[in-house]
Amino acid sequence: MNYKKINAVVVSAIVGIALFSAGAMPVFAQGTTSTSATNLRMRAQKNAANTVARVTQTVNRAITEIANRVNALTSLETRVNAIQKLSSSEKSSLSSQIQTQITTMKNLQAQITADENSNSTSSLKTDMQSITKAYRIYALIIPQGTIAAAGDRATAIANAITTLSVSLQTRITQAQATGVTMTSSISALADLKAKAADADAQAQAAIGKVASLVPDNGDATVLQANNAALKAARTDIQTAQKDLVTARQDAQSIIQAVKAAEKTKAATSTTSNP
Amino acid sequence: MSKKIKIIIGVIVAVVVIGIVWWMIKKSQNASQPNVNGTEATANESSTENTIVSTGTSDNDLDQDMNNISAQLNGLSSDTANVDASMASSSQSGQ
Repeated sequence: MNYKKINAVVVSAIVGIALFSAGAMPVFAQGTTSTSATNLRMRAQKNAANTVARVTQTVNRAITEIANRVNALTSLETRVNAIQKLSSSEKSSLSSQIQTQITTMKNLQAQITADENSNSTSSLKTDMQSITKAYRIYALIIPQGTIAAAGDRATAIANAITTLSVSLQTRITQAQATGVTMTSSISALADLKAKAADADAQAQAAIGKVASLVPDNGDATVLQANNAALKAARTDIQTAQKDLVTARQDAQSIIQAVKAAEKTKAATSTTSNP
Repeated sequence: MSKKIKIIIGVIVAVVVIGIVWWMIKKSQNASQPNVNGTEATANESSTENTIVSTGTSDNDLDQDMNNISAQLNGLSSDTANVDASMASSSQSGQ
């Protein structure tokens, strides 16, 4: 093959490729532009869908949280109304705070639902922030109420154990009258009384520490004071509970001893009177 | 029997019947009267404490008292668990 022929083939090939490219490029270009627009549109739609899904998810979560808190507050109010050891003004104050909080929560739920329905994202954002603010009050009322309720029950148990101690004293005296030594029971009874008295004092102290707490409203000093009071009150309740458990063990040991003394007395009288 | 005596007996019977009816109405009104001052709730609350234990000294009384105290202590355990849970959620929220 001579050089002229080769050159002609090469030039033809280059021209052919150039012509083909020139014809095909606009099509490719057009196709690329079209694809980009579609991609942008799809991306925008996807973003919009994601935003809606995110808002719906946030609203649903908020509504669930609010419902949970309303339920917790309603249960607490029932419990608070049954408390005996709070003064009527303290009970009324706590109950009123709980009711106010329930109303706030329900109003907030209605507002959030309205925001969602009207696609008012700015209002929704404000309302979501209100949940946090409302939660600061909720976060004080719930431990305040549960501590008051626990303290009230502890006091009731302590008083019941003190009442029981009178019956136990009677049985110990009866056993001693038959000649049975009841030294350990007498010691247990003294411990029982001391533990019941301490439990009562601890429970009353716990109630007193939380009864007058107020929401911090963002004040760091009040927040610290509230947290310190709640923790101290919880420690009091735990001490009262331990006291009462010990007092119950004391009572159990005394009852076993007086029953044993009764059996001994019965056995003795059977032996002496065949 | 003279007419006068019959009238007197009739009046006495009528007075007795009216008295009985009035007494029954009064009794039913007292029973259905709503509790306005919350005294019923107070009575129930204070009776809760009193019914934890009896003042009896028999074995059965003491056993029953111990069962009641144990039940109340279980309730106290539940109460303290609620206290712990409420304070845990408080500290999580920054309160």
